[in-house]
Amino acid sequence: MWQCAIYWVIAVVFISGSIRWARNDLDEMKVPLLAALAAGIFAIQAMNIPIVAGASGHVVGAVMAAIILGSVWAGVLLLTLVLVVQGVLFGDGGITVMGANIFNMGIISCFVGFYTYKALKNKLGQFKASFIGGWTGLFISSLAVAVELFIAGTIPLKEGLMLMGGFHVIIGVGEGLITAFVVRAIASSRPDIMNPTEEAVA
Amino acid sequence: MKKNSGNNAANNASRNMSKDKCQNKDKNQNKQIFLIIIVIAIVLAILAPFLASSNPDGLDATLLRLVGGGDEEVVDEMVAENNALDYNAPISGYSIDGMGKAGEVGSILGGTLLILGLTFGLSRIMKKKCNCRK
Repeated sequence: MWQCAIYWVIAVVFISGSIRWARNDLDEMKVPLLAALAAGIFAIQAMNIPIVAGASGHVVGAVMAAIILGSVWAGVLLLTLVLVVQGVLFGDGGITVMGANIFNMGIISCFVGFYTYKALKNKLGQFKASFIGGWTGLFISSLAVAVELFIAGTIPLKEGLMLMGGFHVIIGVGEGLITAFVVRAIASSRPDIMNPTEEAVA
Repeated sequence: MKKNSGNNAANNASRNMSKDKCQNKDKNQNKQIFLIIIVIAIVLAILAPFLASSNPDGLDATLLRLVGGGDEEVVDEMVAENNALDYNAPISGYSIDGMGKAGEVGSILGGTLLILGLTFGLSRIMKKKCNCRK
């Protein structure tokens, strides 16, 4: 499927960006944190929570990782590693569509969520900005999935957007809350890890 | 392109300071936060097979309604048909045959530890050279 190939190409471009980030910015202090967050994100993605209408959702953690490590690239890198292990070892997500999964959960989610957070942090404080960042990252990427499935000819656009959007409006609340609480916990215990701003102590 | 490098003086100062001190104190504090996150991850991994909802997630639920008409098999078949690469994952679906919940706990826990090791190893290889490394 040529569409899968396109997502893979985009994914590879961004993965190389995240490797460049690691080369330039990843220091001794951040290595254990990156590894611990990857493990935490893998585990938390297994925890499906029932939402509405017989559906469930789980936290993705992309925006959380990006905010804590202070770079959108950190989120892309972590989500890529988690998705590779899920797909290769556990058959969760498959190999052909992994490019698309990395594109959605890694790239779109991280970029939208992290820059939403950055834009709002000074106005709303870190806690609220993290919540909105987490929510927005998840919600927008769910809409992107609906559009991609439409392009692939799998689902009709309008119903797809409504259903995906509807479920993820609610799942996003969980994503946002976890993002906000984890960010606050780490920011208050280790302000030096997260590139802090003076007024960010929410 | 260094989007994230400290954009305020305070941040730069604290970074440089911690480098000068060769991060001994930081390393201990890092260990603590590292351990806290790992413990949370392990607890989640053990509890997930018991607590996690078996309801389809948002995407599966959407496909189930729009494609399968409520029938999971239709969706599974469609996914299989579109799967160009015939790949069988070694621990498919986070479960090990004949091991029930223990297999699920084992595979999620194993996955958690694997990703921990993998990320740690890879990021050590990739990281920038720190000034104070002996």
